[in-house]
Amino acid sequence: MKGFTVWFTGPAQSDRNYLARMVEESLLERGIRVELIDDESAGKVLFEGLGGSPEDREMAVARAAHVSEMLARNEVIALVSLDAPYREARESAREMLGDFCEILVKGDAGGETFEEPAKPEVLVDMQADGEDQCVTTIVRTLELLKLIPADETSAEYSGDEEEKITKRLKDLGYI
Amino acid sequence: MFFKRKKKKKVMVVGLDGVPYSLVGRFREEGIFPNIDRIAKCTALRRMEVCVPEISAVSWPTFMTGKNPGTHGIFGFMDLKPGTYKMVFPSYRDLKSPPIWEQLAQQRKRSLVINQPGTYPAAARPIEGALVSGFVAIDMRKAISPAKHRETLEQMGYNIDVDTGRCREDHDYLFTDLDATLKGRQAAVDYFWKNEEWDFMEVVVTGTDRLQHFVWNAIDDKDHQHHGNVMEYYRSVDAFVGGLFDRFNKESGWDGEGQGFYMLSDHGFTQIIQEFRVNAWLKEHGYLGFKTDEPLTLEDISDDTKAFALDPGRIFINVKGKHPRGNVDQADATKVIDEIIDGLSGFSYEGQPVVKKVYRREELYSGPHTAKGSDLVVLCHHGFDVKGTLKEQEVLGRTNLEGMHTQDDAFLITPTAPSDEVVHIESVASMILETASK
Repeated sequence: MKGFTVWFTGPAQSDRNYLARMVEESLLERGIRVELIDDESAGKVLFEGLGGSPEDREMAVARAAHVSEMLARNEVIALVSLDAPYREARESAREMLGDFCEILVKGDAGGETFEEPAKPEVLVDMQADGEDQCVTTIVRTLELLKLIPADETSAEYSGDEEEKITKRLKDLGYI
Repeated sequence: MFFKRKKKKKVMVVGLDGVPYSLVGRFREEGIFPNIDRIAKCTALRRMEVCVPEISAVSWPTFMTGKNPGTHGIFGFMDLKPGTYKMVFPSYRDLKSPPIWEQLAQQRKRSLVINQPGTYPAAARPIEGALVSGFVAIDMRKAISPAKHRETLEQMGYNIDVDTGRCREDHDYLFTDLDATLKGRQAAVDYFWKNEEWDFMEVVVTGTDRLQHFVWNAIDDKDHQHHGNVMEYYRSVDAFVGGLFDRFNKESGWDGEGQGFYMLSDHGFTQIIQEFRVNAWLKEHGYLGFKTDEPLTLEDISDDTKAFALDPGRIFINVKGKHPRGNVDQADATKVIDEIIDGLSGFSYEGQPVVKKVYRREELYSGPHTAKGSDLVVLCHHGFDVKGTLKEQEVLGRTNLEGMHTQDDAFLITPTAPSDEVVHIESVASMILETASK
C-alpha cells in the first residue's frame, strides 16, 4: 500500500485535532502504518520558533508537507492537523504531495482568518454528525479513493439485522 | 453596469417503484393519473427495459450508477460469500460505481435523495447534501445521512417502508400503512426542500410496488373489495407527483415547464399465473441435491450438486475450484450450461412456455465484477414469477402474492425525447447528468 497524506483543515475552534486522532486510531486498528503530525505532538518540535504571521504559517505547512513526503515514500500514511488558515499554502502542499486527501472540519473561526478549501475531498461536522459518523465517512472515503484497502472483515449487518432483511424479502416474495 | 446572472438549473427525479408503462397509459386515459398525464404531455414518455433479473436490488443500482451489474457489483438481494455457500446481503457499501449524486458532487452540486432503494446504510458512501435510504433499510438510525436530520424525520413519523409482513396478510391495514407512508414521504420532501440547498432531488415512492405485489387483482376487478382503495392510492400518488412537479417548475431555473424533470419505474408489473421455482426444477432434473430433507440454506446442498440458484433465477454451476464442494470440472461447465438452457427453454405450463430466455453471464454483464455474477439468469414470460426458494418442493405453484415484476414494461419520462422509442434503465443516469450539466 502506497503512503499518502490526509490533511485535516478547519478553523481554530473546530475539532480537527481530536478527529485526526480518532482517524489515526481507526487506521491503526486495521494494521495500517500511520503517523500523526499535529500542533500538540510532533508539531511542538517541528514548528518550534514559528509564530502566527502568514510567512510563518506557510513555513509550518511546508515543514509538515516535507515530513509527510518522507513518510509517504516509506509507505506510511501521514495525518496532518495544524493551524493553517491560508488556502494557497495548503494548495501548494497538495501539489507537492500528489496523493492527498483534504478533510474540512466545520467549526467556528471565532473571528480569526480561515480560508476554506475550494474542493476538500471530505466535509464533516462533528457537532451535527457525531464523532463516529465523521470517522466512518473519512475512512470510507479513503477506501473509495482506493488509498486504503476496504475492510472486508466486518459484516455490514448483524445477525438480527440479517433476520429482519430476510423476513422482509420473504414477505415480498423475493426469496 | 448590470450583469445577467446565469440561473441555476435544478434537476428532479421521481421514482414510482414497479409502476408499469402499460398502467401509466391506461390510468392517463381513465383519469386516475391527471397530473402524470399533463406531465407526459409536456415531456416525453417512453417504455423502458430494465436489467435481468428485473428486481429492485439490481434495477435501482443500475439506474443510479448508469452501469450494468458487472460494473456496479450488485447482482441480487443476496449473494454468495466468496468461497462458501453462505449468503450475504449486498449493501450500499458494496456498490462499486459512483451514483449520480456523487458524480454531481464533483461539480459541487448538492443532492437530496429520499427513499432511494439500495442505499443502506446511508453513511456507507459520501453525500453532498442528504440521503435517506430506501428498501431494504431496516434501522432509521443508519438510514439517514447526515445524521443531524434523523431526529426530525423520526418526529414526523417518517417510515422507510410499510410493514410488509402485516400488509401481505391484512389488506385492510395495507391501505392505512400505504397512506401513512406516503404522507411521511411528503413531509420529508417538505422538510428537506425548506431546509437544504439542492441542485438535484430524487424521491422514490415504493408503496406502488407493495400494493401491486399484494393486491394486483384489485386493479382490474371493479367488484374487488379493495378496488376503490387501490384507485384512491394511485390517485394520491399522482397528486403527490403533481405537487412535486408544480413546485419544481416554480424553482427549477428552466424556461419551460417539465424541463429538468424525470420520472421512472425500476421494472413493470403483471399478474402472477404461477410461481416457477428454479431450485425445484434443478432438483427434479438431477442437477441439485440436498444433504437433508428440509434444506434451509445452500450450505445444505449435496456433494454431487451440479447447479443451484439464488434469487430470483440466478443459476450457478457448482464448478470445482470456484465453489467449496464444486464437482463440475471447468471443462464440463459449458455442457452443463447448455443442457440447463435446453431444458428450461422447453419447459411449459398448460401449453404455455414458461421461460422466455436463459441468459449466459456474458450476455448480461460486462466489467471488472462480471465473474461474481451467476452463470445463468432466467427470464420468464409474463405471468411466471421465477423464484430461487429452497423451501418449495413443487416446481410450479402459488402463494397469496398476486403481482410479479416484468423486465420490459417499466416507464421513463424525460424532459426531451430520447432518440430510441424503447430505452434501457442503464442509459438514464447519463441523460440526467447531461441535463444537470446545462
